[in-house]
Amino acid sequence: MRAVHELPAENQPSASWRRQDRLAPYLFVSPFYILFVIFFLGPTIFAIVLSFFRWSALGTPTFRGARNYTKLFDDPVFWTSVQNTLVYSAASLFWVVPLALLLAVALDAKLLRGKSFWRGMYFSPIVTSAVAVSLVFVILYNKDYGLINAPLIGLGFEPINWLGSTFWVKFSLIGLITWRWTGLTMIYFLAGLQSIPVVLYEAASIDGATSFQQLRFITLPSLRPVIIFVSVIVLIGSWQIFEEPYILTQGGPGNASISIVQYLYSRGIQRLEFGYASTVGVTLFGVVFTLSLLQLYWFGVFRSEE
Amino acid sequence: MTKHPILVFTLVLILGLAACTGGAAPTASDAAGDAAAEGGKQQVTISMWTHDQLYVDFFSDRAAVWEENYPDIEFIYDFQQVPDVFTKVLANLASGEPVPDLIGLEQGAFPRFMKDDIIASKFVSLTDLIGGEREDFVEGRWTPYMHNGNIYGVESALSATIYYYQPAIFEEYGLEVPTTWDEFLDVGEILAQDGVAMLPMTNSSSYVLMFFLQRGGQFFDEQGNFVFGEEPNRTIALEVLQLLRAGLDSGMFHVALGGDFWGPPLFNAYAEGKLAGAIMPDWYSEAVLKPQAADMEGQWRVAPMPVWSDGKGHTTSVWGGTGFAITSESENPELVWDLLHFSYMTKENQILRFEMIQYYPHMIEALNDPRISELTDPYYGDQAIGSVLASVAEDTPIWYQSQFRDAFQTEFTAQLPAFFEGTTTDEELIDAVVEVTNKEIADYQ
Repeated sequence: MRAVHELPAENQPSASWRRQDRLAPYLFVSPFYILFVIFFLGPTIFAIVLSFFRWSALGTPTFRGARNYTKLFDDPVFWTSVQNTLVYSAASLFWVVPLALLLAVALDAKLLRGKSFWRGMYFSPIVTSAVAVSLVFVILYNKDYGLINAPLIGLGFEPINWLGSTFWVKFSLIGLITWRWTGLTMIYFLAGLQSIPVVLYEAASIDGATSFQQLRFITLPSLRPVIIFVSVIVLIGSWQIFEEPYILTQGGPGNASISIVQYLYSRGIQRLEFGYASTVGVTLFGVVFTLSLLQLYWFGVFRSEE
Repeated sequence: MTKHPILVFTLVLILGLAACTGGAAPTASDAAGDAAAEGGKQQVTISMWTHDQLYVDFFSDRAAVWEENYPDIEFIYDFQQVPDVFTKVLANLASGEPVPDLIGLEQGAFPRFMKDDIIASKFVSLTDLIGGEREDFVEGRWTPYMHNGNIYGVESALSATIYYYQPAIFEEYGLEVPTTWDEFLDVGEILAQDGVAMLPMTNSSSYVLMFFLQRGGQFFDEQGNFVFGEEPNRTIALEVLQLLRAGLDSGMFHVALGGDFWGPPLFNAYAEGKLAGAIMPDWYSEAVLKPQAADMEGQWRVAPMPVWSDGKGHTTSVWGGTGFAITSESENPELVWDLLHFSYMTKENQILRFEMIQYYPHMIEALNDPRISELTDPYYGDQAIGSVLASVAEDTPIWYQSQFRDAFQTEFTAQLPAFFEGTTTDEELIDAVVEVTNKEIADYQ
C-alpha cells in the first residue's frame, strides 16, 4: 500500500539532492573545524615537532632529537621563569580570586548604591591600554618620586626599590596583576551571585541565619561551578602571563620577574631559536594541562554524581 | 536558492574569504614592480621600512632630489615607519611575503639576521659597492654591520659618546671637569660627599659595555669568535667593573634603573643639581636631553669622556646606530643602492642629514666641515658640540657582531642586578657570562 505522505514520483528529491542534504550540516559546521585545524591543531602539532629541531624561521630545520629538552631542564633562566610564574600563579589564585569574590559579594549587596558605577570602575582596568598602564605604574613605583613610596619617605623610612630590586619586583608585578585582573574576575562572580535564587536567602533569614552563615552555606556552595570555572581560567591565564612583566620590567632586573611565556618569546622572536622556544611552549602546555586536570580533580569534577 | 544549500554555502565561503584577503594587502607587495607608465616613462617603486620617522622624512626629502638623475623613470616611494622592523621583516621572509627594498635596522637587531647566515642570503653585500669610500668614514661604524667580512648596512649616525655636564656644579666646588678616570674618581669623591653624582648608571648591559668598548675591549673578534673571556678582554672587563663598583659604592654614579634612566627621575636629578652630567652618545642631546630638559638651556656643556691614565683604550665610545640594508628581493638593487649612496654617503647629504634630523655625520670630512664643527648651540652656552665630536670621532671603537651577541648580552644583563646589589663580584659576573655564552655557542655546533 502506498504511504499516505509519500510524494508523487516527480516531486521526490533526487539522489543528488539527498546527498547534498546529508553533506550540508557538515559543511555548515566546517568553518570552525577548518579554522581550528589551521590556527590551533596545525600549529600545535607543528610546535611539538619543532621542539625536536633547531630552526631560525628561515631555511631547513635541523633535527636535534631530545637535546632541546635536556637543555631546557639544565637551563637556569627557564627555572627562574618557572619560579616567577609560580609566584604570579599563586598570587592570582590565592589573592586575586578571593579578593574578586569578596568584591563581588560587596557589590551585590542590596544596600550598596551606584552599583553600575562601581562595577564599571572595577572593570575599567581591563579595557585600559597596556602601554598607558605601564607608564602609570612605572611612575607609581618609582623609588624616589613614586606615589607608593611617598608615605614611606614622608615618615622617614628608606624608600623601597620596587622595580629595581630582585626581591621587591615580584610584589610590584603582583600589584599590577591585582589591579588589572580583579575587576574581570569579579564580573564572573557577580554573574554567578545574581543567578542564586533570592528565596534561599529569605528562607535563611527567616530561620535566623547570620550574613556570614548565608555566605558560608548558601553563596559559596551555589557559586561552586563559577569558582571552579574561575579558578581554572585564572590558573591557565596566570601560567601564560606575558604582558605585565613585559611592559613593566621587561623581565628584569636581570631575570627576576621574567615569566615562562616571556622567556619563550625572547628565545623565539629575539634569538630566532624557534625550536627551543617550541620546547618551552610544549613543556608549558604539559604543565598547564596537568595542573588544570589536578585542579579539576581536587574540585571533584570527575567524581560521578551519586 | 534553497534547493542548492552547498552552492549557497560555497558562494558565501568564497565571498567571505575574498573579503578577508582583500583587506590584507601587504604594505610593500608592489615594491619594485616595474611597469610602463603613461608617457613612456618606466615606473619604479622603491619601498623602505624603518623604526624612526626621522629617517623616513630624510629619505623622502632626498629621494625627491635624487630622482632628477633619472628623467626616464617615474618613481613611486613607499617609505614607512614600522615598529619592530626586525620581527616584521622576519615574518615576511618566513612566510614568503614581500619585503621592502631598503630596511633601516637598529644595530642590535642585525646579529639576529646573522643566525644561520640569513643575512648573506636575504641581504645584498655592499662591500664592493662601498669600495674605497669605506675609508672616508669612521671605521667603527662599518663593523657592526659586517658578517664574514662583508658589509650589509650603511650607518645613520656617528653615535660617539661624550661627557655632557653642568659647568655650574663644577664651578661651585672649584673643580675642573675630569679628563681621565683617575681625575674622575677624585672629583667624584668630593661631589659625592655632598650627594652630587657625576653620571647616571643603569644595569643594562648595552650601557655598561659602552665603557668596556672605550677601554679597548672586544666581545667578538672579526671572525665572530667569542673573545670576551680571553686576554686582554677579561682584564679590561675586570677594570671596567672595578670602576663601576667604585662609582656605585661611593655614590659617584646615580643609579637609575629601567625607565627611570630615560625619564623624569633622571631629569629631576639634573635639575635639582644632584647629578652633574652624563656620558652619552651624540644623539642623546637632541633625542633625550633637550626635549626633556628644555628649561635647562645654557646650563650644559660637553667634553670628551674621561680616558684611562695608562693611555690605552679610546677617547670615546659608541652606543646605538641604525644601518640601512638592501634586501636581495629588491628588483632594482642598483637604483636602491644609488639612492642610499646619494643620501648617506655624500658629504653634502651627510651634512644635510644633520641639519634636517640632527644625526651627526660619520663621514670624517663632513664632520670636520665648519657647518658641523663650528656650529654653536645656545643650549650648550654657544659651545660648538661638533668640534668636540670631531676631535674624538676617528677614535670611535671598532667592534664586531656575532649571532651569539644576544646570548652574551642577555646573560650580562641578567648578572648586572646582582653586581649592582653587591651579591656578585666582578670575577663571578665575567665567569658566569663566559660560561653561559660558551654553552650557547657549543649547543649550536
